[in-house]
Amino acid sequence: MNQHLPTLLLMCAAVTAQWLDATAVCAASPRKLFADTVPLPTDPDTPWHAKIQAQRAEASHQHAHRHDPGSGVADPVSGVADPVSGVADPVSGVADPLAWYSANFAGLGKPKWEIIHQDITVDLKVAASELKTEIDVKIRAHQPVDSLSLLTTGVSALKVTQLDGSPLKVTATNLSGYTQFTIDLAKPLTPEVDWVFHLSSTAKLACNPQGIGLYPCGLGPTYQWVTFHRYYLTASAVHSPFTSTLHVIADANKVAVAPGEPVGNEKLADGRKVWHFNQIERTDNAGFAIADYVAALGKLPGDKPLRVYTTAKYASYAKNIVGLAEKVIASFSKDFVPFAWPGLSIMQLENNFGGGYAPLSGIFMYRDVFGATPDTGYWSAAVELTAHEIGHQWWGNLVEPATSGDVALSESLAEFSSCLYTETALDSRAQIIRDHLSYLYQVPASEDMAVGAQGVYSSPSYVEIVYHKGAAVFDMLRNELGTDQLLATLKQYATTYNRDYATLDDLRYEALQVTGKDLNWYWDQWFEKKGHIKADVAGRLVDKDGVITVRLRVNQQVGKPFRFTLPVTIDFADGKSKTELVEINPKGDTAVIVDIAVQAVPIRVRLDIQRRVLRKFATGTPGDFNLSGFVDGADLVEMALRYGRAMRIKGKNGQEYFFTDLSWNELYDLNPDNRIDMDDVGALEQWVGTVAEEF
Amino acid sequence: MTLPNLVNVSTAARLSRPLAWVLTSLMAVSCADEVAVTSAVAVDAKTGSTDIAVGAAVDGASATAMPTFVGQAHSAEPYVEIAGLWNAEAQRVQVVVWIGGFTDLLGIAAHLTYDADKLELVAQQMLDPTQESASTGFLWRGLVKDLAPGRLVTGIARFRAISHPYAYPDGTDLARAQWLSLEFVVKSTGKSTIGFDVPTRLARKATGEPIAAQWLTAEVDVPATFVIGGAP
Repeated sequence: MNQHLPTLLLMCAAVTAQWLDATAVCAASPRKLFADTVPLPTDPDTPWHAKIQAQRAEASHQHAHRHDPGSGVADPVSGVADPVSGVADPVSGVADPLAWYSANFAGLGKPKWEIIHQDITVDLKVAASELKTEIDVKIRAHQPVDSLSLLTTGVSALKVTQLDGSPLKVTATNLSGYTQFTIDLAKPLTPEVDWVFHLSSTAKLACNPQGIGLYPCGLGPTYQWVTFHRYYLTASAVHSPFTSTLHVIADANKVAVAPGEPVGNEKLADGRKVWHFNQIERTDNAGFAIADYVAALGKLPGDKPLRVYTTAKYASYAKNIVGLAEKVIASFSKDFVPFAWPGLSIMQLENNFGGGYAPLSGIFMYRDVFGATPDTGYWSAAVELTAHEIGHQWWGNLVEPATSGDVALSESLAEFSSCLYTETALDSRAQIIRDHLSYLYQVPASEDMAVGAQGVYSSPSYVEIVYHKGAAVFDMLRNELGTDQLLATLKQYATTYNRDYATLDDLRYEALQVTGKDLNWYWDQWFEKKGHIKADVAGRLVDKDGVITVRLRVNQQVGKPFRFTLPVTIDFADGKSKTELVEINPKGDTAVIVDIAVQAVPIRVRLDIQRRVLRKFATGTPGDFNLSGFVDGADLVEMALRYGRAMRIKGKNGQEYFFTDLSWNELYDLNPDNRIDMDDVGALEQWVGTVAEEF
Repeated sequence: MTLPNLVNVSTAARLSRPLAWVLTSLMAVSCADEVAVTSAVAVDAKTGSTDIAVGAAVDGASATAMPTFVGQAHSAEPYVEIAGLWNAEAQRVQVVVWIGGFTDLLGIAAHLTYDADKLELVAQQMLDPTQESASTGFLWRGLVKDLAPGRLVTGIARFRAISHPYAYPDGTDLARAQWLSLEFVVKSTGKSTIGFDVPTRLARKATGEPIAAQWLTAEVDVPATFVIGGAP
């Protein structure tokens, strides 16, 4: 598969194993409605859009240079050095590091040619399960080019012509579900002169779950939608994001929705309607949906519009999602960088989608989310999913993964962002703990891959590795940098690489610039290496000349032990506790011994009580759960507190299933079966009276 | 959690409100010593529990001086009390640890300490505070074991009869119940204390919240004239 395809396909979301997202295909249409490629007018009532239009008119590609961070390169227009973007707003004269022209994929450099714009018309034929697509594709060559190679999802009919209808020489091949076609030009394209060709195609839609169980489209009676089925064109050899206008034909009694700005609809001669959308930002990810949608409106920072589209049945619930999205976007705008897009459309899909999908300035989410209300238990799930998808507006859309090995920049960061939000908004680490446990207990060694591995999407455990472990890895960075420094790093990263492709290593470099800390070891260990921490932990108290010390031994019986920062909580009889971050740096040894001075004899020592470390611990002194150095009655009481916790649950059919128990602590699973039960109590009783060996 | 070497068992505790409650005619209690202890304390409990102390003097003033047992009585709740008596027939100090006044108690534990130079532990048994069983849905599991001379690790906790992630720990309210029974033989004369090592004392609710309790001690006094090693 082409190297950049996975990145394109995986720009989506899932919060739990049940909530997955998908990939998709594409199609064609015989009828051409809009031959020109002039963007449709934006809503004149939206000031943001007016500004954007003005910027688009005045800014050009030569403005689109992302400077190296801190390069101090002067703005070519104003002559004023801007340490971040170096480019001043051509309208206001004020430097705006997130203005669309300030980056605009400058990191791509100048390819031989690129797709500038696509004007796309889609006509969904539900009865025939077909998508007919008409596209005018504007190409700009930067060097003399005599052939173009492009991709679309597998089509059954393909016709490529000049705008005047004259044929072009095309050869097409199937490529893992995609159609790759090459246009051989009679004469080379003239550099910097735009050339437009027309494509008509028809694709048979296969809306079955694909890949990791995701639906690329749906043709049900209530909703018809196309998301991962990529009906537009991408350059097959290089990244080439493009602006677009999308025209969706729907029955007269239906409403079409899509990312980008909705710019009205009009009636067709056959009684149907065509709905227009303008995507003024360069992207290569889109989708659309058709249903009896109604819109609930909200406001984002900068008076940008938020539109939540639900079916009429769910209209009364929409205000909940509006309020939630406003809060999440405000939070991320503060934590990262301001919301960059002209607006956001959140669109309801039927339940079988199983997750969310977040192309630029749009989010598709599944039905149940829209039925959730803040006073119900399901609300937390709705918040998690919504925050994850909104997170993609920064991670995946603003900063795009350069390769399939950088997909963590999209999915892991979106999931981490969601966890960060729920940790504050819901006052709970439940989401990130579930992510930890999902990876730790669901990924067999045979399926494990490094988060940053090229082709990690090919693992059957892709979701658990990239979404869940990846989020945990970013969360663990808080142990190393502190939350504020991590957010400062992400802010700088989003600024530097806004509207551009980036790599995981670029993020490491930004962390170095912002914090001064070299995280080579962390990247190597957590992004380039698979697995997690496995360690025996033992504790004892040492009294030397009246000075009491909690001594811990962390023993990793692996070839290359992990380095990590371990939160150690020490509880005292007076009810007070203290937590210290302890560096476990094996430096080649398997065992690390650390001493923590205490003022009084503690009643227990607990490790990583908030699951901030991706680990599985076992007791180095079996049964000594409170790390006192003895196996005694206090350990029995601790066991009683964890009794019943399990990562496996038996169904009515007798089969066992993975179960995410947020209170799970593997330390108590003395008889290892992922359940804390009477077998473990019995095992503990056998160890009673054991004293920790000297260390 | 404890540091055994920090604890001087013989001076670990001092009786704060001793009241010798000498039971005479212990011989008449026959062999049902645990019953005797239980009933004695039960009576005590009925009367509102002052001090619980059992000493022994067999058959009046003419008898040879016998060891006495004096336990502190609780003045607040919840509490952990050590009750006992000298069983002349068995020639043993018989002790029951009582717990009372607890709300939502999930488990309790401590290191029980005694002077190993003066007392030798010869019998130990965990007791069931609420006589629960699988049929009631809960079971107490307890442990008691020597950790070192003069130091006994013990604990008791309430478990559900089934283990399931949807079944969370559940504590219980205990007005007054037995936790542990012990029997000692005396090894030498003099006073010694039975108590709980302070840093190891622990009671928790089902939420994990520690329960502050009054942990009491008891004193065994073996008169100088007592014949050590007398046959039971």
